Amino acid sequence: MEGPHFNAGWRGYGKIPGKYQPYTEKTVWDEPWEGTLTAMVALFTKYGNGFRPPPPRETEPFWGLDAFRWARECMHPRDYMNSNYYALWLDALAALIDNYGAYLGKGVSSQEMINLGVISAAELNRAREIRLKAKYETVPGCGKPNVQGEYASSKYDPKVVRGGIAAIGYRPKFRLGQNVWFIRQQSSGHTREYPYSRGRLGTVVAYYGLAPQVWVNKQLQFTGKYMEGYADIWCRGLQRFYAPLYSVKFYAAELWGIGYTDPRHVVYVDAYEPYISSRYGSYLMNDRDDDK
Amino acid sequence: MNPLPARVNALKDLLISKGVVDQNSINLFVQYYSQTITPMLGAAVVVHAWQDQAFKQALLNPPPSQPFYASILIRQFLTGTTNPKTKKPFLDPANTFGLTLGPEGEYIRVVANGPLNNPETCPDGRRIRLVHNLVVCTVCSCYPQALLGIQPTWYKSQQYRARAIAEPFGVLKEFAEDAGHNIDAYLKSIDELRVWDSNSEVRIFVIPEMPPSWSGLSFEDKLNRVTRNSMVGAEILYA
Repeated sequence: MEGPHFNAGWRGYGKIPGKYQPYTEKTVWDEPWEGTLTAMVALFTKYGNGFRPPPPRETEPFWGLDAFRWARECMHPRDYMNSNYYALWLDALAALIDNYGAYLGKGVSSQEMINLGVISAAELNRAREIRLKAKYETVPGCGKPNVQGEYASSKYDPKVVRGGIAAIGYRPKFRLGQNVWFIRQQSSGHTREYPYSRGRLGTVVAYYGLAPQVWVNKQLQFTGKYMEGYADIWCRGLQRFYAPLYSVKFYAAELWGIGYTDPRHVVYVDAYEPYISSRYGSYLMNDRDDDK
Repeated sequence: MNPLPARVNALKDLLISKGVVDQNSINLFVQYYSQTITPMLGAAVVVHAWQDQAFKQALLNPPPSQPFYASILIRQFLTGTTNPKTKKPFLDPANTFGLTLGPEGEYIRVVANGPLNNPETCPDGRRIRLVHNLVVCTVCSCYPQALLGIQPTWYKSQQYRARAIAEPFGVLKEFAEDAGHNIDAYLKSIDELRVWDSNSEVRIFVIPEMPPSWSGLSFEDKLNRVTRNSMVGAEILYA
């Protein structure tokens, strides 16, 4: 979502605080409540990609780090800029509970959180409005959703692609060394294509790909392959879409201009396949992915 | 709004009363984050990579069919190596939540600071011999927690997130100056400064360059000298 978390490259922040913070039991967190909150978030997102998810049950919503990141981005920009890092987490956890609490079946209600002063009604309403707006927006590689907010993709929906996840990640669409443009997009949803890379030219330097999860006796087996979902859809907690992942290298002046950029400075970002295109502007005239 | 600690406690009490979380699990996670996963794990990987070139090269060059094979190698090393301080293996498989290494430790991409084994050439013809890698998460605070523990406050700060990606030379200089070091000669010697924005579930782990004078030190002595900041690329190690 567009907002103040996209502060990469902003000037005038001054010095970085606390560079030599020691790592001891007492100094991992600045305050004890930050540890409590970290633990609660870990417990609450363990059914997402933060911790091992159970074998997919398609009939219920799921949530994880992408949903949590999106929830953090929904804070009012003025509050975000002035906020303690863990204050973002508290608002985000409250928004996650507001969104998904009913599915826990434990009777947690948003009204109780408001009554207890955990979160304001205004904050929850803002997050709800943003989620509603996102429900009708185009997502790269997936087009516009239907009225229920469901996306259809012939490329990234493992229920549609013959061969499922394995087929989606079977071979790279872009080769190593190929120059690619990042598409231009804005989103009310969560995306990991950031403004500083949109429209810019980079070079594919690695194909991380995509592979299906392997479960043995309800234990997820790590295979050394990338097995995570496509963040832009995954953050919504409704559909399990997957897109292969690439690593792309930029010369920093492409991102930050020539004003103060040292020519020895390069930037590596990861790109889900729908973020990049081999032809400049292929997405400008329509929202279809015609980049064959 | 109430002060933050009161709001967190109110939420905790609510979730406990509904049976969503329990105090014991919260305590276990706090203990896990503050005592089980610490930068010592990453430091052990670094020292072993310094002492075993084959291990280092395997971490840096995973097979294309398994781009995150490094996580598997690191698990084998950490579960099979005794921590000289605790006399127990660095990593207990029972402590990984069923993951390979722990939270944010599945998709580890290892990079090394220092001279490249095979120098590269830029499009403009410049030769790349010495590289320095610096890791940032510009939008949140993604970080290889399973190897380094909870992120330090500086890594999560808006200052670092905004600046590291756009003016990394200045950031490295500031880190050195705050510790009383002059890093100008090193900065001049870098042929390519690579900044990694952690914008997927891939987590970048940096092997810093070992000061030559450490070569005679024991595993444990080296372990004690590898700094957390150096495994993010924010500082270099000094003799």
